[in-house]
Amino acid sequence: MQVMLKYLIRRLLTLVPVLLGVTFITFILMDLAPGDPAEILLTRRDIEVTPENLQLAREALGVDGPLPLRYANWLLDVLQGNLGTSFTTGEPVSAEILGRLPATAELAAGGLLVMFLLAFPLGTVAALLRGTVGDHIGRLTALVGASIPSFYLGLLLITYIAVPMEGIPVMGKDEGLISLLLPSVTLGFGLAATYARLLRANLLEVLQLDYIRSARSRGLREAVIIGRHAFRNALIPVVTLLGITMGHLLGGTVVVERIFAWPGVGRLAVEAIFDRNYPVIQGYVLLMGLAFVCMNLVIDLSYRLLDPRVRMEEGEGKVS
Amino acid sequence: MDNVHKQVLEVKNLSANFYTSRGLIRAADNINFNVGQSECLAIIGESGAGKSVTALSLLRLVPHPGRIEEGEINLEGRDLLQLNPKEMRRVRGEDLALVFQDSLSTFNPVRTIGSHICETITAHRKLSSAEARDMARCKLAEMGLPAERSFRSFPFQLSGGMRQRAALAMAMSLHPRVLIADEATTSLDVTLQAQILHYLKKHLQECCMSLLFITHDLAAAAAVADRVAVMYAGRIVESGPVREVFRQPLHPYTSALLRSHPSFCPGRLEPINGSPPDLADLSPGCAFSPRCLKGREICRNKVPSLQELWPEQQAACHFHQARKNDLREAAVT
Repeated sequence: MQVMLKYLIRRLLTLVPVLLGVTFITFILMDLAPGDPAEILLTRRDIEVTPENLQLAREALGVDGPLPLRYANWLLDVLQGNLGTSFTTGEPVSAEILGRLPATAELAAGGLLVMFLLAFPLGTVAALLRGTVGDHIGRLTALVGASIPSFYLGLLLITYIAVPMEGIPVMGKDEGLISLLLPSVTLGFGLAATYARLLRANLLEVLQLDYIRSARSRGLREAVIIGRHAFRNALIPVVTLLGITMGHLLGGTVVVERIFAWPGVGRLAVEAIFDRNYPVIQGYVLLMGLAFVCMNLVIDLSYRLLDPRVRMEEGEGKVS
Repeated sequence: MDNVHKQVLEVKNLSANFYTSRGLIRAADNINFNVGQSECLAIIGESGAGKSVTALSLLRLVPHPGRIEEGEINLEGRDLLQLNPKEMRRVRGEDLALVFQDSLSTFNPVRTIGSHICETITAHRKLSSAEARDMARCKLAEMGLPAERSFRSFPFQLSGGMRQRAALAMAMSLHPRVLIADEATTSLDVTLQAQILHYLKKHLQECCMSLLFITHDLAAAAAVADRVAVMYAGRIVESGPVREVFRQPLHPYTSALLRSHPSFCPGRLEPINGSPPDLADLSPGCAFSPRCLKGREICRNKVPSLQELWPEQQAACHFHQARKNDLREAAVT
């Protein structure tokens, strides 16, 4: 347990340089990007754009100082728990992001669920039926799934499922769980293709290993061999990819959120970028960094559950 | 030891081929042998001689792209090649158990030794998991391992010797009729090897088990086997009682093998000329003929069949068969 705690603390400490790095780089990138938030704000409020007005607006938004100073100020605020206020709405950034986060989390969970339901049976069946017609059909489906852009799949689903079958919502999330259906399927289908292919390849690799042959020579049932011996070992690389995917999903899936008018963080971020809404962008980047690092930590911890070799590395030694 | 063994395993005309991109490979070609009750048959030969394929054929586990082409594998009167997959599954581990050379790849790295043994037991016996666990611990202790600790260990936590003993404990857990040890002692140090061979020999008598001991280690074969079969390029080239074959080998390959081994050749060792043949590109005659000092015209054109040249001792060699015929003719006239 001591080992585990030390490990956790060490991993959490690595968060600091990562977050400093990503936020600083975003700060520089936004400064380099064309477009002036002050000008955008003035135009939007129908105020005449004059040098004086611009200067006033810049001071009001806090975008007039030199870059290192602005970053230092932002950092100080963040350390006190203040992410700033949105240029466009005047709301606190933390409230804006936190308000959108549940919707994104719901969509992420829905997408992952669809992915699991599709990818695991498909990948397993394809591996077991290797080289047969079933395998080829599965692989072709996976190829199509991986190639089809999500905006197109979303539109197809709306046209051929939501429109003929009235009652399936296609906009927003106001109708409860059912409104999650189409966005989740759109998101999950594309993911499922990648995962099914990965799982199939890993399963095939594991099924070639000597200990599977040894398990067969001991007269175990094929179901036991696959479920108990092959699957768990084939899952290890899948879990790695899952960490990256979950990081992405928590950052919001811009395209899917846009098609289904889903009020998640992805849409918030895109709007903020169009408006040069610096505090919201910074807040979003901070959240993304946090999400990625935390997801990687969760994944590393789950390796320990899946693979005792990782678990024991720093713990107990060899039995002798 | 009684000379008449009740035959437990009879292999007749067993052939296993591999269909590769380089062509047909006859990894096991027309294999015939018997193993009696409480008897140990050693199959010896160089790497790639087809020993392991023969072992896997017995369990019908020849890997893709290989296939058992023909033959009979009679285990106590049942032809294993006629069984359906479900019946065959019951034979594996229960009647025919296999121990591999590399114990690290015998076990799934993410599961404990104990869980492997327990699942083997419960796959064949209707036992509660507590009973299976007790049985597994008992078997581990029998092999001289600390039962509780090795039961709970993961494969990578044990030393090679301990792991191999655990693999053996697992194979023996259901008291198989025939144990196939495929280079099972090869990677162990000499002391441990001697211990395990001793344990196996003891078990053959006590449990009426038969042992198919596959090895390239001639000394180990001499120590444990009652009879030997020498394989070369997928065929059995000589077989007979271990003392006769090692004292008076008939096939030139067997004698060359013995002359290259320090335990059997006290003087200067003689390496065998040339290298093992490419199984995808065998000559039409005797596969050993390119390396054979006695090679003749007929050896390069015709595959010699396995014939009994001495009582119980068989060899597939034109040279010796011709000499025997000469002797017989001389005796007649």
